[in-house]
Amino acid sequence: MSKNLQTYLVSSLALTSSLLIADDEIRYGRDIRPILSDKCFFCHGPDPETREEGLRLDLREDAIKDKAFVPGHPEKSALIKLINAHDKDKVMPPPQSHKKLTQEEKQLLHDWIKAGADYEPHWAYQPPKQIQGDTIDRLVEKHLKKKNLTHAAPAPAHTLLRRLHFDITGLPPSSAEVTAFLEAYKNAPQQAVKTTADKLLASPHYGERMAVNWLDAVRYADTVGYHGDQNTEVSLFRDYVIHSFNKDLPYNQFIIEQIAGDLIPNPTIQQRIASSYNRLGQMSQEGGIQDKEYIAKYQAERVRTTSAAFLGSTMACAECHDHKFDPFSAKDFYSFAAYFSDILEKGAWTGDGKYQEDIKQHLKPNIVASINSRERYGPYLKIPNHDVIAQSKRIESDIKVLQAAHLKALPTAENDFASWLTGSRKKSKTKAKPKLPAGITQLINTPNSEADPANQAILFSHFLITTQAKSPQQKKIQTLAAQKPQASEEYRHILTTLSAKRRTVRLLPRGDWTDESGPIVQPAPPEFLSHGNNIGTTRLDLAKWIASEENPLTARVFVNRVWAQFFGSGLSTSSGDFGYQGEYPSHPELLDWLAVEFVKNNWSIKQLIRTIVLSKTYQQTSTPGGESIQKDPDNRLLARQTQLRLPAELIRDNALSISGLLTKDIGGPSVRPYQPAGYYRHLNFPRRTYDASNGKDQYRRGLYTHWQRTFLHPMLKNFGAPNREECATDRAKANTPLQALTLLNDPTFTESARVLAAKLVKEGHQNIIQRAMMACLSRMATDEEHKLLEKLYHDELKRFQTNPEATQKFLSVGLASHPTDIPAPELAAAASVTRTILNLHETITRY
Amino acid sequence: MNPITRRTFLSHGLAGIGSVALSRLFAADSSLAIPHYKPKVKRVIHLCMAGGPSHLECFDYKAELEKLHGQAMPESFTKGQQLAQLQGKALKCMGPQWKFKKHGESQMEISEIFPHIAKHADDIAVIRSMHTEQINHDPAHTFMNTGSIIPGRPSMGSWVLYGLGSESQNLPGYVVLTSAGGGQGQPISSRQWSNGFLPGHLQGVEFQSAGAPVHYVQNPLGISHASQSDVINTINRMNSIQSGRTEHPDIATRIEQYELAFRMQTAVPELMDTQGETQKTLDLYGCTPGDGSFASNCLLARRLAERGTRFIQLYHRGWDHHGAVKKGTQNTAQLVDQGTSALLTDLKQRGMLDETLIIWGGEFGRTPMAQGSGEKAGRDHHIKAFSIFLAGGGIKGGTTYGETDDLGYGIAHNPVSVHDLHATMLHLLGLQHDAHTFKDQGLDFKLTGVEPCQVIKDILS
Repeated sequence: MSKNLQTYLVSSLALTSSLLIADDEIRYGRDIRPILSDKCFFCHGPDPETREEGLRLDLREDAIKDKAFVPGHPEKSALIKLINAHDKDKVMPPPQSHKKLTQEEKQLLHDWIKAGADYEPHWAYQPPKQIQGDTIDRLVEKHLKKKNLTHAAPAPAHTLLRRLHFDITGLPPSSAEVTAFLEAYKNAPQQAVKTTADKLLASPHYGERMAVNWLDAVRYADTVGYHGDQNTEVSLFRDYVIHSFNKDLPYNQFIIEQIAGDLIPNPTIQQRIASSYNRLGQMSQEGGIQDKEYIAKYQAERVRTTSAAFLGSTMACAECHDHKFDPFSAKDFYSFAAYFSDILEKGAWTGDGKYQEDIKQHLKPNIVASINSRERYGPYLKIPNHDVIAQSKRIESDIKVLQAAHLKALPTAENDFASWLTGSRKKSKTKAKPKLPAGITQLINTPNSEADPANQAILFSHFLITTQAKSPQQKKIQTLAAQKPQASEEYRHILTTLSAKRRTVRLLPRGDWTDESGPIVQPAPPEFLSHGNNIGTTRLDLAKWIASEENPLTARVFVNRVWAQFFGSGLSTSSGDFGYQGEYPSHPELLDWLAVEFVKNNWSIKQLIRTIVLSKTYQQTSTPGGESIQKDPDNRLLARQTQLRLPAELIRDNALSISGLLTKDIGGPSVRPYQPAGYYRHLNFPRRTYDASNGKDQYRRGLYTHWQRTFLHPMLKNFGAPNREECATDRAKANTPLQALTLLNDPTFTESARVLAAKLVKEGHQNIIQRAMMACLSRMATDEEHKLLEKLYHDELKRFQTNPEATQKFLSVGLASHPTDIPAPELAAAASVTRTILNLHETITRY
Repeated sequence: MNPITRRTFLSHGLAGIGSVALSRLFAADSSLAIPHYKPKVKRVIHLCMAGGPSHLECFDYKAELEKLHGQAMPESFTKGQQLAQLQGKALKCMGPQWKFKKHGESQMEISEIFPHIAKHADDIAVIRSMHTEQINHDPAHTFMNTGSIIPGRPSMGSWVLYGLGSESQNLPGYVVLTSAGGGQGQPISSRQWSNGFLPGHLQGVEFQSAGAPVHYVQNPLGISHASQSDVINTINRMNSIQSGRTEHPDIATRIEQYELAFRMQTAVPELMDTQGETQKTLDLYGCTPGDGSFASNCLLARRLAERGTRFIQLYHRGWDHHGAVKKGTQNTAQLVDQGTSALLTDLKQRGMLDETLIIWGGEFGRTPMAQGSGEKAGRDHHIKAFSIFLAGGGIKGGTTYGETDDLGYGIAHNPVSVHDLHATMLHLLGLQHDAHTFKDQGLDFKLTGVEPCQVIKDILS
């Protein structure tokens, strides 16, 4: 084992927070407030209900007035005496709080008071500043220098290319792309990166990659989540997100459209789809629930999601009490909720629930209340699927032509039809009557219905489609009929946001919805952020206020998350909390610089990404050199890049892409990859079966997977995708045996391995191992690796040669066919090799 | 993770698959693995009676309610209170539908629908004064499991595993099994065993009663044990080479996880294979092992406990008796009574009951008022009072704790909140509930929430 790895393991155990401290002067926001906030504010902070002794330490004047400390004189300060007290009854924080100050923290408080006990406003609530001439690399270097570190060497070219691909489109480069890039990079590295980045940013797959994180934040899913977890219809929203990233819709506009697209004057269909953001939360149709209770749940969820997703603020706590740490009051919580009170909806989606206004007055040809007996969460926006309708029409007219030809070609055609009809009528009166579509049954049960030519045409079509083909035309008709889309596919529905009469919103004491004693509140943003300014009372007003460049949080929160996508963690690691308890950024000036730059460039996300990937900081190697790992095990100083396990969806996409199975279509209704049998057996109302998608729909990217909130697809779940019941701004990075089992045994990966093996063997019997390595890892195997894989190949070949039955079973996994002109044992042995490579840590890691 | 073991491991390449136990499965490099004080029990088996068993037919007999049977429910009880399906309906009292008898030295009153459990009267502690905050199944389960009604918080099993880690080398530390029958099967969400914001290896793993017991635990079709072993061996050797190049601890963990996955592929079938159980044991449970019944799951719970699984949760979905509560409670009781009793007996015989905490109970109780009438009369959801029982290490057997009012509607003495129950459970595991915290998004979270709560000392031995 290498020395560096040992160092890492040992030093990870030590506290690393001191890394960022003690190199220069004490700063309140970075060094002191986190201590006070974590250890003191619960009893001596903003919430008057839990405040002890009337003392608050979050305001300097009050703290001094109450003699908590004397600036410049730690020895005269009560605070210093109390934190050092030995008496159990006196010491602060008190033992029953289970909070303890470390020696280092005590020293910091002492030194800070000695230096004058200066406060500074919370970094995230101040407008971001940018100094002319700064760059990403310069701002990173500034911190590196203090630790005597430098940027690491550039990453190897093939690694850099893979990094750009995974980060920007989420799909690996082809072997040809690798070769081309290596050549271009040799001659002009920066130009090669720029060209590649531009190409990737222009790819339609860029929007898919970006959507993965965004859909987590806005809790996008295909089911309601509560109780029966029935289906909703919102996939058009997912497509809107993808297209918005692809066309580089300015981020401020992106926010406005989602929160209030329906209120924009003369909104486009896309803007109305965007506003379905407000309808993505969980809903319930559990019997016996109360309308009001669930309205309270939905409004609270909207506050939690909207504040966390856009403002990086945890307003959740303020539902029951004033925030213990941040300046959010309970009144702020409910005033924020009031912005959403115009949304036409029910609390209980049962017979008991009521809309605040009769939904009938809102219904139009393209606004419907329900899709079927379970999916009745209207209003839904109904949007024609023009491609599908056109395809249906085309098929119908082709069938008409073929019917005429059939009649001509087959002299007995009319008689056949007549006797079929007579036969069907007889059979329909017997017990063993055949199952027919409702419309057909009715026509058959109505004597002489065929006298009407329209009816006759319907019956004749049905006859031709369902009986044994007697002419080539009839055969063709049957093929075409099978290809005809279902009527239900001709429209796509989406839960939609309609503005109606506002519901009354009260401040709920302790969050209790049954308590109506609280005051009625009006829509207003959090007071300390808006400085009491009246910004207006509509959702559109709120959206514009959030999306304003004056809002100190919005741009910072977003650039921090984009940074995390390209470096593994944000400059502040608490991507959903920029409040007092959130982490002080490792590079506050850089975070500010990026935020200002972002807004200056008209909130262009593509430009932000271009700036990031062209930096030296981004292009460094991720292999730690000795110094950097000792001084900075968590890589907060960025003296190297980060090695990142791919997100769940990308692990799937990568395997499908390498094998060539991937369907590259963009958007559409959600699909169903293979899933273990019986996984939905606990679902009820109604009971659910799972039919895996057929044909090319089986091979869509992971983000199109049907997102069942209560039972997320186990592959996605095992790799840390959230169930999206709530806003999630960060994914767990666990490393579990369930992940190993998934890659080893999930049919998707077994099938991908075999399809890749078949492709490689078909291309030639030589060098299969090297070509497999190139396809999966964009590099050749070393001798040592080659030997291992070769041995595996031969051992497996022997096994498969002696057991043809098992070989056939292994080759039959999945829907894709496998070539029969390759000897089965050879194909199966090659598939064991590709299966091995698809399981490698390197394959699922972006370096 | 021990650096020395790891170094030995990497420098010698892979010793044979399965031969080196490097760390605990699903247990946690990141778990605290230090109890705050000496624990009374090592593990928890939660027998979750999903749907909400009627306390009035199970553990809380009310003579006064019997007297008022058929009469209007006194308004003094119900005015301004939350109801579920009885909203806006006439409220009539409904007497207990089953007789209760006194059992054991403790003379504990238990309903006649539990002839087997009744034999353990002196081993169990019944709490008649539980109350909860949520009146519908889904949020009530969420509250019972996570201590919060906001989805996304860790379940109690994950909290326990986070504190203590797992003792199993080859099996998950937190396992969930389910069965159904005897009443309306309400859906149940995997949220109930989610790790929430705790690390992913702390999640509950659901074992299926049909097909592969754990997702992806079976080799791909046609792949033999030897073949799978060779593939994993090659993967790990290749990963080990890569580890030397990229110097990242994740890859060492990955290698370990492949070893563990392989061991799990053997351990899970071994767990499910009950051929070694004696006929006497099988008769005790009264089931065909592997038939998916609650009793069969109880047997598996014992086998999991023996193999070091820390938190075992058995859901029986079948207690939602809005209609025909008399027949319904009897039906469901028949499905769970013998299994529960067998588990207590079996653990006791093996000397394991003392180191196990058993929790038996649902997410809420049921109304003293009837829903419907005649034979079809049932009871609605009720959150003001319900009964559960505890047994095992540290529990004072034969205790009946807390008391409801004359009609079994509200609590008259010693109310116990869900958080109190959590605090008590953690206490028995050696964890102090208000010191067992995890920081997420800048805030210190704990299973027992922010409101004060306490360990129920009176039921402890």
